[in-house]
Amino acid sequence: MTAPPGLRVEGEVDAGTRAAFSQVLRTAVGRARQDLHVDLSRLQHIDLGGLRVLAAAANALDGELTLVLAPLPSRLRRLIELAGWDDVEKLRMGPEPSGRGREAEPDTGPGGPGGPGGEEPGGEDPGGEEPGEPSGDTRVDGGTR
Amino acid sequence: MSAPAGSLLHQGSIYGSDAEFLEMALPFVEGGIDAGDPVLVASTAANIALIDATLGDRAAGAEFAESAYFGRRPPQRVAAFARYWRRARRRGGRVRILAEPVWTGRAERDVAAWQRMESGLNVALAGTDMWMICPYDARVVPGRILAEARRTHPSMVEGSKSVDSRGYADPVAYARERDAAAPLPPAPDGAQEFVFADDLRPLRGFVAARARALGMAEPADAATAAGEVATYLSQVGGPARVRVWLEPGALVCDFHQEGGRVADPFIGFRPPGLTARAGDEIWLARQLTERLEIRSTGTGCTVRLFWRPPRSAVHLAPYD
Repeated sequence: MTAPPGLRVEGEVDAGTRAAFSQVLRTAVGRARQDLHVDLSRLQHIDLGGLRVLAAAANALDGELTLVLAPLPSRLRRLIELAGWDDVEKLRMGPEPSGRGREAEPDTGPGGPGGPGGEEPGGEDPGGEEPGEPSGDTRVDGGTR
Repeated sequence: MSAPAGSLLHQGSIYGSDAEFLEMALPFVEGGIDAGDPVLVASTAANIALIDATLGDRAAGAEFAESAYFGRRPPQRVAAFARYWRRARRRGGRVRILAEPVWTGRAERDVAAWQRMESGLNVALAGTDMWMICPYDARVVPGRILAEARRTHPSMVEGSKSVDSRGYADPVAYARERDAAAPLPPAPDGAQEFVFADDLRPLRGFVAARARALGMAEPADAATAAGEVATYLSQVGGPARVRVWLEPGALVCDFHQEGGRVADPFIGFRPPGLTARAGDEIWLARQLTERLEIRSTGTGCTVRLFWRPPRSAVHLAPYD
């Protein structure tokens, strides 16, 4: 299975980490030549400002490209709907993580059947450290290829 | 009945019989169908049936939703209107909504919240060219609520005519008057408190832990809503204090910022866009709470969030 180009975000996105989150997404959007996948299944918290970064990144993609949130915990889907950004056409919301439905569980990753997050999308990323427990700081793995 | 295009038209209408309802509603709904406008009827089941029976097959040109299921509380109602407008306007024409609120069986404070919203719609929907008529059924709605409709709608539909509303109140002045009439009771002694400034992570952890300890089913909602309020407060002022407690009828999360002041009584009433606007955080907090109250006094501002108390019988989640 080939992992689609994308990012996996861990930890917490709030006012303190938003700028770094936004920078990483801008870079990924600039490089994207196909749909950009973002895996938020290991994210422990994201605020409205962070969700806006995702919606704005989707709109900034070239042409017909879309930003795909997959797998997407149901709780985050609900927050996006409450913000009204499920109406952003270039933002696509994927299925829930397979197995357990909770976003805070760090064990949905390797070997998850079928989902685009089943394989490490960030294998070629320079500076990728040993994946460990979510540190609380935002951590973004991956890049576009 | 005609309306100037290009800006919001928000009208009330008081009717006392089925015939009077139809005299007001049919030209609005039928005229919209004929003009190719998107038309939504969010009303009582009885009134939807009346329109259905009168229009017959032509009713298929409009959309129908029972009010009770189209925004359970004011923030959800505003969100539902805004969502309908966003989607329907793509089809062209002027979006029309017949929006009949439910008044019977509500607690006094909820009646106040709905009246405050009626006034707030003049602000929240100001950027749209929506045409909205809010019918009030004089057979079941108390006179004091009917009287208030004239203060919250700039014009009224009487029969088939539009007339300027006598006594229409400026929405900001109206909301301030209502808020001043309902001060928040003091926090109970002994509520656990937490002081925060810029780092909001421990604040969210505190609220989630307290909400969980007090039996709330969705402590993550409490943490997210509290995080949004804290984000807003930390942008506009200095440190603030948060307290969480259980009181009869509610789980409460209370923020107080010394010297703070929230000037806009409709902060967080308009849906957020992709460009950030001051107070967008409060939109999400309003959506995630049962009730959100803001008061500014000489000593500072208070933002108080309420959720339903953790009583198992009231949690009918799939039907919310």
